[in-house]
Amino acid sequence: MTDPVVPLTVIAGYLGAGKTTLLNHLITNAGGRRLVVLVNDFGELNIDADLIADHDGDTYALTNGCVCCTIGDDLGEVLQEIAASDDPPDEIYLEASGVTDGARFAALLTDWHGLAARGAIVVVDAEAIMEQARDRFVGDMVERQLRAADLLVVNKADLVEPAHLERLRAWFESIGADAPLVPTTHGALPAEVVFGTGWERREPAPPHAGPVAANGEAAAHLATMSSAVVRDDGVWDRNALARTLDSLPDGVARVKGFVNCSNGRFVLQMVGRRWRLDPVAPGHGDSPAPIGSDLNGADLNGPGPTSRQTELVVIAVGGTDASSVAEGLRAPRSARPAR
Amino acid sequence: MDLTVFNARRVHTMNPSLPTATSVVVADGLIVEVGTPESIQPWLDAHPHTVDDTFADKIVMPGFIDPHLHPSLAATLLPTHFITAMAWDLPDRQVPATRSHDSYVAELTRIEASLADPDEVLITWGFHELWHGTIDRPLLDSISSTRPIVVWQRSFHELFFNTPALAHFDLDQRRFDAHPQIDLPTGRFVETGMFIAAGAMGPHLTEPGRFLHGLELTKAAVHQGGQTTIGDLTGTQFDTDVEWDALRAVIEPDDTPFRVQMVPAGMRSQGTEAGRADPIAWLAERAERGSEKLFFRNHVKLFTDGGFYAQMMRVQPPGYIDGHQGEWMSPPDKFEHMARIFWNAGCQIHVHCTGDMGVELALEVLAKLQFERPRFDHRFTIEHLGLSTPEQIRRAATLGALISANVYYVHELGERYWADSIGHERASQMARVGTAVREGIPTTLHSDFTMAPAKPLTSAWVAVNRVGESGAVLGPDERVSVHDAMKMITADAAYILGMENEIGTIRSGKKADFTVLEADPYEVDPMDLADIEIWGTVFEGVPFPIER
Repeated sequence: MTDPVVPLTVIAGYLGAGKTTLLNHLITNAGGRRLVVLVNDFGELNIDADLIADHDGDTYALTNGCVCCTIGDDLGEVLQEIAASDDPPDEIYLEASGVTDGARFAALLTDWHGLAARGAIVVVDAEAIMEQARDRFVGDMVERQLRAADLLVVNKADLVEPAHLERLRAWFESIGADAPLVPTTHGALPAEVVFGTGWERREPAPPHAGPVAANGEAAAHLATMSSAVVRDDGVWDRNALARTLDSLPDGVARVKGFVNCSNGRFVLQMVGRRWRLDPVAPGHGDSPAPIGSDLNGADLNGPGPTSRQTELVVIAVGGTDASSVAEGLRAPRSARPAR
Repeated sequence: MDLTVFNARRVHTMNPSLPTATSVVVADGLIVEVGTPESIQPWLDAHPHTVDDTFADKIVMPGFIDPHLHPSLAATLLPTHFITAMAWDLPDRQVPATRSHDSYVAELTRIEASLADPDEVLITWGFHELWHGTIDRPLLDSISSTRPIVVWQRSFHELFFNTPALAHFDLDQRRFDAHPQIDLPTGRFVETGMFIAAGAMGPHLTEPGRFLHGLELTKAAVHQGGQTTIGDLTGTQFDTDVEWDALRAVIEPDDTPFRVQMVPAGMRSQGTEAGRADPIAWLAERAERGSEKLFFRNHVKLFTDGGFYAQMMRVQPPGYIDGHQGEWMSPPDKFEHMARIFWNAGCQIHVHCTGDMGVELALEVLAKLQFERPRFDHRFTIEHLGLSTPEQIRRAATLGALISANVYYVHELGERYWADSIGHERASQMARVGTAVREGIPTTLHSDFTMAPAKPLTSAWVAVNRVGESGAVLGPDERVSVHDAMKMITADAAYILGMENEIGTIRSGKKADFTVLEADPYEVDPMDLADIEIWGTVFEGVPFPIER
């Protein structure tokens, strides 16, 4: 039986950048999404009392369906429990502590069973970050974390001059921190950015990719996103599919959906270069139609009008055209028809 | 009061007000008087006494003190099979030096073949890539594809498992597939991966019979090193009641000739931020568990950077030859936060620092705390002192810090780190106790057993000679005199533990703790210091010969 895969996003950043403010903003503006938010310490989270439905030791249950817990000792166990639960959340957001996780931070970005790592959002204090990167004790780690970011949230942007933001942009580029950049105030990251796609976990930038420019360019960057859906009656040879997925162009940010192979029906989850195929048990994995309307929370395992076709959503960024990628995901004609 | 008079060829009291003597009068576990047969006469005239001439041809020193080792860790490791680059003299066996990849494999093969029980899990400790090259799961499987084999690296930085071991400890799960510090094909679990693996092995390692046996071996090792007081820095390994009960069962009986001061870690290991709500109350609550021989004082331990054997120390420019950088065990800001809590509560803080950046962080924080709330006699102690600069040592002196050094690093790692880690200049000056003595800092030596042998005379030998693996001297200007080395394992060690009024020198009023030697450290060739035979110890007035 397929386990639903829960997306996991790490929120990282040095002291005082505004991670908890951002998490608070997420919880308050979840827009109907059921989020689980894992933090180190409730103290700073300041959840609005009106939002709290129930409080039990390590856990706050909120009226909007979100849940907030402290991380405690065994993060792996907590994540597994969430993923394995009967009613898993739509997404998990995890606060990474400080800059010294190093390997632990990297470990959080791997695909644990039942979870799919979306990537790392690094929150940055617009005023302090350059100095923090020069700190003789942790400066190297601050820079490492910035380079590992998939999305850079430049918080407290209201406290600095536009010229400073320009300098920041140039400085990020010079240290190899080339993730999309979004300026914010009080951690108020727009929902379409947080819950949207296009910034998610990247592989090292390909040589032809242009520099990420300043301020509102994140929005412009997101605007170069394209998406397409392919529905296909064909059947893939498993190995041939693997080869095709491995050679998709760099601009393919995500592919997800159902694909029919000669040895069964699979759920495909692809983020950047990494993909996984999980088998679908009979009776499950019938895709609802239509699939294209909600790219973010589509429940691919829910019941609905049956469709036993291969049905994949492709999201591409930059100059890559999602439609042509999607067409390339039709099974070669010589394959047998779907069962 | 019944007196016992111990006569010796010579007593080195380590008390500058009466450096040598020949007779020590003892009653009820305390030293009554130190002197000569003539000078002690008034006591003998007034009280019944017996004369003990067992030591008439021997040298009596204050009971040796190692203020930083790990009984629980030792108890976990001693029952394993040692395959080590250096030779080890253990209570139940002699371990030869193994220094190449081929000889490592040969020794592991020999051990595997020698085990009678085909189901016995083979755990070995001591592997270090600098001597032993590369190992992996296929190699271990070729040694045995049926018996679980676990290789624990010398510095606890990583663990290797063969296929049966992965299954035995339930570590072959899917969820480890993509963990970046677990590599199932090679069976290698590093750092955070290692903690997962060690956790899985926990029940096996702390199985009461095994753990108790390990503690008995530790007890023998401590006695055979001539120690009458030790400091356990970090307390229990897995923080379980089983461990604590086992420690009490082994330490408290009268036939255990030493006492243990417990210094708990003030932060959870690896610096995890899920801190305790009230660290001071927690420390007080731990202390309530103590007894006369297994006790707590107002001391606490914190960590800055990573392990020295694992090259995880944080190093200032120019850094490591290969360009990597070490890790913080505590985030610097969290370290400062916790240090402030304990400083303001009047605790004595011990700080693990292996790299010069770790030392720098500790000194920066100490300077801040002194500025905020000046304290005299705070005894803030830098532990290990792998790498440091002379300027840092002077600053430490100015701020009133103390030093507890693992000088054995020089012997085992000095030459390897010259070649493969940080280069000659800094490697040869690791554990710079010479500079510490010149700056007037109370300085002690420790073993961090099992990081070094639990033998103060061996530590003293390294401090005096600074001889590396090949026999060459490393950092001759950091050598200390025999007298300074003897102070470091007696009086100064007592001082760092805050017990200088009770132990550390042979003086009227102190505990009757002695270490009895067959030769005089002040007479032998300094190169022979480590080979001086120890007859045994006297603990609170009771002689305990070493039975081998």
